[in-house]
Amino acid sequence: MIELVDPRGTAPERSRNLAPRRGTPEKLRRIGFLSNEPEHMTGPHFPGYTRVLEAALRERLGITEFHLEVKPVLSRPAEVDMIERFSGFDGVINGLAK
Amino acid sequence: MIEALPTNIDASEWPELSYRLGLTDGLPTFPPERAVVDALVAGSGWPHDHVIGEIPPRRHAATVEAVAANAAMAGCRPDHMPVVLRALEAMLEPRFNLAGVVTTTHPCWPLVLVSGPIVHALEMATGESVWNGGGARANLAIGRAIRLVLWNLGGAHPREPVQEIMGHPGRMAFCLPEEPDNAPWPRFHEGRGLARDESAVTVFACESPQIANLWGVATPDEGRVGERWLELVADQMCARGNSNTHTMGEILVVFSPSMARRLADEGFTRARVQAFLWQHARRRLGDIRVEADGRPAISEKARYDWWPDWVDQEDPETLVPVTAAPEAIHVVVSGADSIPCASVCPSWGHLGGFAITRSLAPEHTDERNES
Repeated sequence: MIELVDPRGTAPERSRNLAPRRGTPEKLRRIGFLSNEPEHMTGPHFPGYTRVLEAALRERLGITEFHLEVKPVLSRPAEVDMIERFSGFDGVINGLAK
Repeated sequence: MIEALPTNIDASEWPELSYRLGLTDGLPTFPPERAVVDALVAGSGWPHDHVIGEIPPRRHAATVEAVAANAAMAGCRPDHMPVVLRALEAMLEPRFNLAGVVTTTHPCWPLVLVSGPIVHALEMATGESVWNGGGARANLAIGRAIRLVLWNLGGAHPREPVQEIMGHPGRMAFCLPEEPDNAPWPRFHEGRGLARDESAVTVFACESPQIANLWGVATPDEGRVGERWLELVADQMCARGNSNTHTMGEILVVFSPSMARRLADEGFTRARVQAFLWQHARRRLGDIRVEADGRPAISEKARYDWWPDWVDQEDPETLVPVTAAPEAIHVVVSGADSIPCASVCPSWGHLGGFAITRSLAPEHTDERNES
């Protein structure tokens, strides 16, 4: 028999909880978009995708308030003050698109 | 929920257990046996519970013991541990952006570049087949340990969360020792502020090496053939599909000893090589960015806002370098001392993975032991 040491180590304890779920989509009023980078001719193009999403969400769910934030460097997490500007929103959508 | 690892098993159970629990990327491993792990911790010179940091994206704590468990799986010896730990420490510098490096769609991976007397002390290979270990245990075990740490502590698994489109063979083990003696220039780490006789590890996130075969250039007994070779290497550095061509950042160029000697004979220091490559590894803006109909893309919408202001983005004839400065071209000597040859490793550009160097001097380990 051999004794093993787990190579996965231990998970850190987290004090933060996930945001509360909002239930049915009919209750949504304010949606944020967090884009990795500004709109460019080439490369990931999330802002363009958000315009399509916004139109669909307005039409189908009656959502009226939208807010877009663009990260200064696409490869790094959004800074705290940027995330703070989404406080009170019903949801934030982040992603890449072409 | 992560399935618990049994504390005690029969050694013959390990291969299937490791695959079932997803403890390896597909290659077989050695079991992280307590006695081996303890020996590796002792070899590190660090306390077993010292935390190097949290390994992204899963962010499990990289205690020296947990790192040693992965090093045991990789086949490391105790004297490999300081290299592994210092490399991880460097990768966890915020400007390296390790979370981005391991999860990006781009095929980069942290290269562990080892330089100085430790290359011989660890019996690392710097000759034939150096990019795939050169037949030496240390080359592959160190690179493999990094891979397994990022796999098991970081959870860097393909698809979720790693979004890499094509992949990178170096992700299995990516370690390059610099030839410490048979090179005409100062050792790599000397250019980064360390003393010649120190040993060092540098991490740099880059793509697989592209070999620059010196075809079609005059034979070595004619004129300034080294300069012509450099022009060929520069051409490879600014390939249109390289990220550096579009986003700058840093790039690695590795010369074989015979090529480096020829360059030195022609008066090329490392700094002169960097300056020459920086001047010649350039592409015309109108070829870098094009509209769908093939015209140069020079509108405001096409603008790359990460390029320095001195790049004229309105003139399609602007020659754009692959880095913002010559010093961002890292020059290393390694490989077989036979036919002159070079390899080029493009990087993740301006987005992260920048070269970070750590001394392997024992006094640094002693400092760490106090923490």
